[in-house]
Amino acid sequence: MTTYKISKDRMKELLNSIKGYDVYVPTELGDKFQFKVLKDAGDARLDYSQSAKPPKDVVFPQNEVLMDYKIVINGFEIEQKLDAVGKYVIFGIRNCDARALKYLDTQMLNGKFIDPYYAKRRENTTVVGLACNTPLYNCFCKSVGAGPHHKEGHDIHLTELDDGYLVEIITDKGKELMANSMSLLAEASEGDTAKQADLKKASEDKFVRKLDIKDNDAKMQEIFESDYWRDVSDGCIGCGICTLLCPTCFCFDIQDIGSRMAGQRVRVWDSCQYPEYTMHASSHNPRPTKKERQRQRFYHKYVYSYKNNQMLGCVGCGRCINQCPTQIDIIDVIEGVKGVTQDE
Amino acid sequence: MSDQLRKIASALLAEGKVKYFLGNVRGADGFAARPTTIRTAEEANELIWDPSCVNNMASYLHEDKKRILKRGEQPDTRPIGIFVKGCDSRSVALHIQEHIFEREQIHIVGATCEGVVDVPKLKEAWVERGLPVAATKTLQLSIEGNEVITSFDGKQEKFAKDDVIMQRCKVCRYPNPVIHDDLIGEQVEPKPDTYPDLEEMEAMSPKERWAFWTEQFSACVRCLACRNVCPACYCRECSVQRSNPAFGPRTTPTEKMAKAQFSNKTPTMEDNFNFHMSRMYHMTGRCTNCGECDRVCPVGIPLRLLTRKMDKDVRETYDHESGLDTEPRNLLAEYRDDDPEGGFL
Repeated sequence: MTTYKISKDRMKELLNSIKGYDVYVPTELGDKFQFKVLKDAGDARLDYSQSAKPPKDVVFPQNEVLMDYKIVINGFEIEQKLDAVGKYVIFGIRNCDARALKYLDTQMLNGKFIDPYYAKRRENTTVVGLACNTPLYNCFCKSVGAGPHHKEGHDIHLTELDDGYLVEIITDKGKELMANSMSLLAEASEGDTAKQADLKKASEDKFVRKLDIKDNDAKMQEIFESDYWRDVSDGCIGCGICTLLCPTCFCFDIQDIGSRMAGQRVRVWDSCQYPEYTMHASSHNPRPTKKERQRQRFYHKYVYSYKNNQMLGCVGCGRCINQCPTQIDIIDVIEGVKGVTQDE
Repeated sequence: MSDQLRKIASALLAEGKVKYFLGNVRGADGFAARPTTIRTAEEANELIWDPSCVNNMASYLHEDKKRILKRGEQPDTRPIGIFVKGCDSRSVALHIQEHIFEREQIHIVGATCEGVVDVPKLKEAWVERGLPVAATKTLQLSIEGNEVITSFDGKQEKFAKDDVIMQRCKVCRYPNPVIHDDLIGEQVEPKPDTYPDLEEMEAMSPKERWAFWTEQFSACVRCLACRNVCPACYCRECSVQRSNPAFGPRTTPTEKMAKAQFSNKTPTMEDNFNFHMSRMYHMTGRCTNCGECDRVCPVGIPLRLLTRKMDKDVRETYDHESGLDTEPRNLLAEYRDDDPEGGFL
């Protein structure tokens, strides 16, 4: 595989030269960043740290119209909305978020039922990863089996250098995306690849927080009923920030919106942190308090996911820690499991 | 100051005067405290009161009302102990005004407050100065005069107060608790009664304002953190989020009426506006301006501009302010002869 290089000025040309795709790039929103469809290459902020919302909504929109329905004489008509799916590029995604897409694949594209909406969007999406040189304080991707410079799940991998970007084209999808733009790239020198290795090392050394998950799931299964879970969730206000901003969370609800005769069936994100999520028709709720709901979040990510898919449900992006209004800290909680005695 | 709080709380718990105590303990780092429920006198020694205590503990009061008792369980009728700052005390007073709790059901430990830190801002300032990130584990915060003092590993670092405290604290008119059973700290001078933060928005033309809020609300993910953290939002079931099955073709209009949802779950522009505006209308004359909705928003929507504007309008038009005492008072259910507004509402 050849490594190419592109200067920072030419990167803008490259972004402009991508035709036929909706290109999602990190842009500024207030003092935060968010992925938005590119309108002008000048808006792209490839020097961003982390987007407030992960770009999972490109492949799994928060609000997705599944079909239109209409009641007609002697029956009904439905129109599936699969054709509305275009072609997408997520440009400058971090490895944590790209790995999360791989995790979503295990949920949506695995087993007996394949989600056609997700499958189509995923197939039409090209992932251009950007190595992370500036891990934030609460980032811990290194502790959950990834790293800031990993290329897992990327079609194209970019590394920012002082004077440009290194471009590695990994998959066929990546080749297809770059087909018209190859003239903008030059071959990288050996000095540049050496620099890349240095940056990787430097970035990995920047991690402050660590999480040790060895033998963790056995212990977690032992203490399922412990008061520990009550104590960690005491401050929880039951908003869904941790789940809605989580790049791997995939729960959804289906709603019909419209009148009696015609309307739309829409899929919207849901969150296990809301009491309505598990409410039975009998009004019994198997997860009646925030203790059970928060516990579910930790167990799903650190126990069940691993058991079912041999992949942790947490990619270590730290968003749930950064954004939790009440300082519930997944690193502390999972680390704290070690100190819990069973009879507590 | 933490010592005083610990002493009061542990005495209350040891004597069984309160069933539990709502307060802050140290968070993962020193910048932001973690709100929690203290159940034993020993645990009370973990309580802290410093400028990192940003949370409004009044938001946790209604959980007591929502809890479903186990079969045969007798309700604990002892009061709830709660730690409040000046702004939070108004939220507690609102609960009493609206008869959610009686005065004797809450034991209020109030603290006079010089301001609390804006965590992201302080973190940013911290990183900008190149201070060791790992040291935040042992960080202690205090406010002296016009400075926020951060101490760690025997060292001290000072930040200008205006740069790192919450916007809401800069215009705070109630730094001293309006109701309390115990009081910690000396009286603090309230800030002048002005609304400098609204000038920019008020100067906008309606068209500009529409564009401004359209952009802001487009980012909303409807996590409902603003609703959940709000001490004045205490309905058992919220009409934006009900477990009603979706409407089917056989749903009759009557059934739909019974299931009225003013806003769908879908975070479209229309529904986002619907949700936020409906929430604001429900807060009119009730909002105590604690600013928590603004703080918790994960995508940074400046909700405080709306609550402050509402506060200003309600005060100017109806001379009403909620949560100042425990007298039952409600803007939309009150008629006074000296009401500055001539007509009925």
